[in-house]
Amino acid sequence: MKPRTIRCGVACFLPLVCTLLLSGCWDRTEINDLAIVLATGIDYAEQKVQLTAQIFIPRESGSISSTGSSEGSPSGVTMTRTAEGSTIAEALNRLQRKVSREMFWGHCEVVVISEQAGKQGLREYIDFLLRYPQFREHAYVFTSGGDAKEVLALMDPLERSSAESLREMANLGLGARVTMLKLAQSIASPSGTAILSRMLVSPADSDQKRVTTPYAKGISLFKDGYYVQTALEPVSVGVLLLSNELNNFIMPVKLDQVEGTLSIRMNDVKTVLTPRIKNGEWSMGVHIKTTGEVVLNTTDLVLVNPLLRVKVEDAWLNRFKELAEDALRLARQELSADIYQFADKFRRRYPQSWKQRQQEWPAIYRDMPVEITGDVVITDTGQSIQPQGEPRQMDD
Amino acid sequence: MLPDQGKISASQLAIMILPAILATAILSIPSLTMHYAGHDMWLSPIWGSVVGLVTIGVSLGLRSLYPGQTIIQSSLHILGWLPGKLMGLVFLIFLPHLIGMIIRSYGEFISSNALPDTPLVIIMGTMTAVCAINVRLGIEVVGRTAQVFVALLTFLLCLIFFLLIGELHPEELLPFMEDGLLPSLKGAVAPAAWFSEYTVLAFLLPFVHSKKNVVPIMLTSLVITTLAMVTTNLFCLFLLGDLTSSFGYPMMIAARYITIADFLQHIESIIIAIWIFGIFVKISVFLYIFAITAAQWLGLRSYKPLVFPLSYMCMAYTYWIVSDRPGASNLLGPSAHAYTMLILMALPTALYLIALLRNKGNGKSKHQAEPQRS
Repeated sequence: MKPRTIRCGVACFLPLVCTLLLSGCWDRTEINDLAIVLATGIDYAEQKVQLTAQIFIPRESGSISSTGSSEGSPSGVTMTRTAEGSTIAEALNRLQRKVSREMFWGHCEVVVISEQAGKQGLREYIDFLLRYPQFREHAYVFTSGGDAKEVLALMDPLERSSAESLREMANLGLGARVTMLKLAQSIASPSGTAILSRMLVSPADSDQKRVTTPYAKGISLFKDGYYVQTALEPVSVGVLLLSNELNNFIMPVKLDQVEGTLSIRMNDVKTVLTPRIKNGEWSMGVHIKTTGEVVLNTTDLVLVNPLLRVKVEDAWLNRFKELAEDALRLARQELSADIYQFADKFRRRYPQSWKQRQQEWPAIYRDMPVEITGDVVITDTGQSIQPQGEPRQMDD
Repeated sequence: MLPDQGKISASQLAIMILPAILATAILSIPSLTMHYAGHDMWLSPIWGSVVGLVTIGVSLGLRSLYPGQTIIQSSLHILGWLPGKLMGLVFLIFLPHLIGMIIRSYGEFISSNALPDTPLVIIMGTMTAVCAINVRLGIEVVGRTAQVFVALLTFLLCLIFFLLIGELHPEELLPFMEDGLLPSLKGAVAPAAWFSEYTVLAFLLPFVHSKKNVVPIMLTSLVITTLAMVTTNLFCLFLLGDLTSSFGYPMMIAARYITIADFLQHIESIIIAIWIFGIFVKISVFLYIFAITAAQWLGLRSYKPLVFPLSYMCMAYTYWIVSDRPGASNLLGPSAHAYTMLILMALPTALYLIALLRNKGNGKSKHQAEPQRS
C-alpha cells in the first residue's frame, strides 16, 4: 500500500475509534443520583460514633408544605440521617445504607462536633475528614452543647438550611471562625489546643419543634485534641479577644463616679502577641488594638469633649484588660492549656531557646508574666452630639 | 545525522523544558521538601538549582565540543564505539523507567482526584496516545504545542496563586533555620532530581537552529523554574504550615481551600487542568527523547516508526515499575532521586569530563572538524 492510502485509512479510522470513547465515561454521575450533603454532625453515645448528614432535597422549595414526616422540613429543603458505628468510617458506611442515592460530600461546608464526641478526642475525626477525598478543608467546624444531630435537624425559617445559617454566622464572625484546616493546624501546633464556637438550639418559635435557628453561645476549649471545657460569657469574650477572633461585639463600659453606661461597638480588634525572653525570663506581651464607635450613652457626658473621650477610652481599655486577664487565668491556672498558642509564638521567635526548654514549657507557661497593653480609639460617637432622650431641665 | 529534520528556536526549547520539569514538581515538591527541610523548604529548590546549573553547563559544554550531535552520538566519539554504545544503552534502559513513572504518577493523580472509577489503563493510555501522535509529528510540533500549553498553564497557575493571597500566613516562614542549614540541604535532594532533568538539553540542543543567545535563554529558564518551585513551596507553607508534608498533593488542597465571596470556590479542577497541560508537554518531551535516542542508537534514519512501539513499551513499564498507589508515592523516595540523578546528572557530567581530558590530550579537538549535517 502507498503511504498516502495508509494515512487516509488511519485518518478515517481514528474518528471511528473515538466514538467508542464517546459512549459515556465511567465516572459520570447524574445529579439525580447524588445525595448532596450540606453539613455533617458527629455525636458520641454508648461507645459509638454517630455520624449525621444533612442532605439537600432537590425539590422546588416552598411548593410542598409540611409533608408530615418527622424528618421532612416544612419547605422540603433538607433532611437528616444518622448512623452509628464503632469508628466514624463504619458509621459512614452504615449511613450510606440509609440513603438511596450516592452521598456526595464535596459541598459539605459545615461540620458540627458535639462536646460529648469532643471528649473522645478529635484525632479520629480530623484524620477522617482530611483524608476522605471529597471533604473540603475549608468547611467550618463548630461544636454543639447538645447533640450535633439536633442542630443539623433544624429548619431555619430564614435560610435554606441550618448548614447555611451556621456558615453565615461564621462569615459574620460570631464566635470563632475555624475551618477544618485551621483546626488540624492548631491541634498539630506545639500548643496542641483549639477553640471552636459552640452552637445551641433556640427554643422553637412555632408549634413545629424544628422550625428555629441555631445560635452561638460560648466557646469550646480543646486541649491536646480533647474537649476540656466551655467558656461562656464574659470569659468567652476574653478567649476570643486573645485568639484574635473577636468581631461584631458591643461592649458596655462604665466610668468611675459617673452614672449610667456607655456601649461601644468595636470595628476591628487586633491582638498582637509578642513573646520576649530577657535574661532567661520568658514573658509575653499582649497588645490590643481597636477602634470603636459609641452606640449608646446613658451618662450625662458630652462626648465632643476630647478630654472626656480619653477618659472613656481608658475605661474601655481597662475593660479589655480585665477580660484578657480573666481569659488568661482560665487558660493558665484552671486548665493549664495553651489556648492562645503562646508556645507557637515562642517557637517562631526564639527557636533555639524553645528547643532547649521545651520540656519545661507547662511550668514556664503557668508562671510567665503577661503584660497587657492596648491602643484603643473611639473614632465615632454616632449621629448624636449630646445625650438624647433626656428630659429637658428647665431654667428658672 | 539527526533522525528528525525539524528545527526549533532556543526559546522554544526553553519553553518546552519548563513544564517538562515543573509539571510534576509543583504537585510533589512541596510535600517532599517539607518532609526533610521543615519550614525552610522554600530554600531547598534554590540549593537544588545548582544541579540544574551543572546539567545545563554540561549540556552546553558537550554542544560546544561536538556541535550538532546529541549525547548519544558524541558519546561514541568520546568513549569509543563499544563503551559509547553501552552508555547509550544505559539511557535506553533508563528512559522507559522515567517515562513510565511520569505516566503512572499522572494516572494515579487523575484517578485519585478526578476519575476514581475509570480504569487506570484508559487514563494513562489516552494521554500516552495523544503524546505519541504529538511526538510522531516531529520536534517542531512538540515545540509549538508546548508554547500554547505553557501560556495557558502560566495563566492558570498565576490565577490560583492570586486567589490564594488572602489566605496566607507569612509568619509560617519562622522559625527560619530552626536546625541550621542542613535540613534545607537534605530537602534539596528532591528538587535536585527534578533539576537534573535539564539533561534533556543534551538531547535537544542539536535541534536548535540558531546558536545565538542559547546560554542566557537557558539560564533564564533555570531561574524561572527555580522561582516557580520556590513560589509553590512558599504558598503551600503559608497556607498549610506544618501540615504540608502530611498531604500527597498540597497544591490540590491549596486550590480547594480557595473560597472567595462564597461563590468562587471548588476550583481545584484548575489544578487538574494545569497538571494535564503540563504533563502532556512533559511526556511528549521525554517520549521524543526516547524515540530519537533509540533511533540513533540503532542507527536508523528516521525515528518515526519507533514512536508507537516505544510508547506502548512505556505503557507496559507503568505497570512493571510499581504495583499500587502507596508504591507509586514510594517511587518519589530518596533512592529514586539518587537513581535519577545518577543517570541524568552524574553520567553526562562524567562524559563531559572525559571529553575535556581527551581534547586536552589531543590538542585542539579534531572532532570539531566533522560537522555531521545532512
